[in-house]
Amino acid sequence: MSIRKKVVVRAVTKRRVAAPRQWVFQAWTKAEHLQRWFFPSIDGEAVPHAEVDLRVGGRYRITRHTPDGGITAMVGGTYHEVHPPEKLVFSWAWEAPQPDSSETLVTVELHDVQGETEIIITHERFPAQTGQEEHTIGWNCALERFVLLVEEGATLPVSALSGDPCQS
Amino acid sequence: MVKYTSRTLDKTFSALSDPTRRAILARLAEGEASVSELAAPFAMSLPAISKHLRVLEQAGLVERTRDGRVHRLRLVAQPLHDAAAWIAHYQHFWEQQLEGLADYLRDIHSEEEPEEHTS
Repeated sequence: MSIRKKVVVRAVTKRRVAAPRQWVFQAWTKAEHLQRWFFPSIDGEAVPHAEVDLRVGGRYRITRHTPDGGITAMVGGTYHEVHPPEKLVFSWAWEAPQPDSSETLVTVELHDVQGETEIIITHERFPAQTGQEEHTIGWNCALERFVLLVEEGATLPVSALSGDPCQS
Repeated sequence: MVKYTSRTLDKTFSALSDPTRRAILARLAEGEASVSELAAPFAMSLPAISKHLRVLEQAGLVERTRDGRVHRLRLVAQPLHDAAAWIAHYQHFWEQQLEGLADYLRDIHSEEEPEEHTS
């Protein structure tokens, strides 16, 4: 899909859990599971509500609310890929408390590691303009270096950030 | 929950997606420079460099001052901080989510088998 080629930045998070992939996939894709872990339970809040239409093009929405029905957080999106029990790709946009002006993309990969599951979450943004060259690698390190560079006033060679930002 | 404005960040990330523009920013991180100084390391015409500079200016990453006929450019760090903060924010968010998921999976494991046959 061409939409994924426009990606320029990503936040990647990994974690191993002691459960088989089938369980983990269900925890991500069944409303009754999602609403028990997705938003941390806060005293005085009602159990979060999840809606899941698990198919490509189907929508999900997870809502956290107070006992009197006030919404404290709401996130939703559309499933782009559904491959049980190994992969799930969905768009992501906060609707509350502060609506996002554009959607981002979340990929959940589940790898079987000797009966346990390694979860890799990649959260990506799409740039505002199209027609940019594809550039999908290493944005975390590039930005970290940039900020370091700026904060420390360090003198780096001009080429420091022009190639693959994660090399050297 | 997410305080970074998406539109501003889209501009920042879009501007950063080009290696020439990143090299320009790296040069400006060392100090101010004129357009011709910035153009020197590249096999590129001044108009081509100017086009990249306009993208960086529109993204708020670069500011221009005029000293007579010489335009001098300097780096504005804030959008880079905001972009890095977006990444850090979501990494932290997903770490927390996965912590919650790990706890939940432990809980249902100790209760009983999950409903695997319903899928």
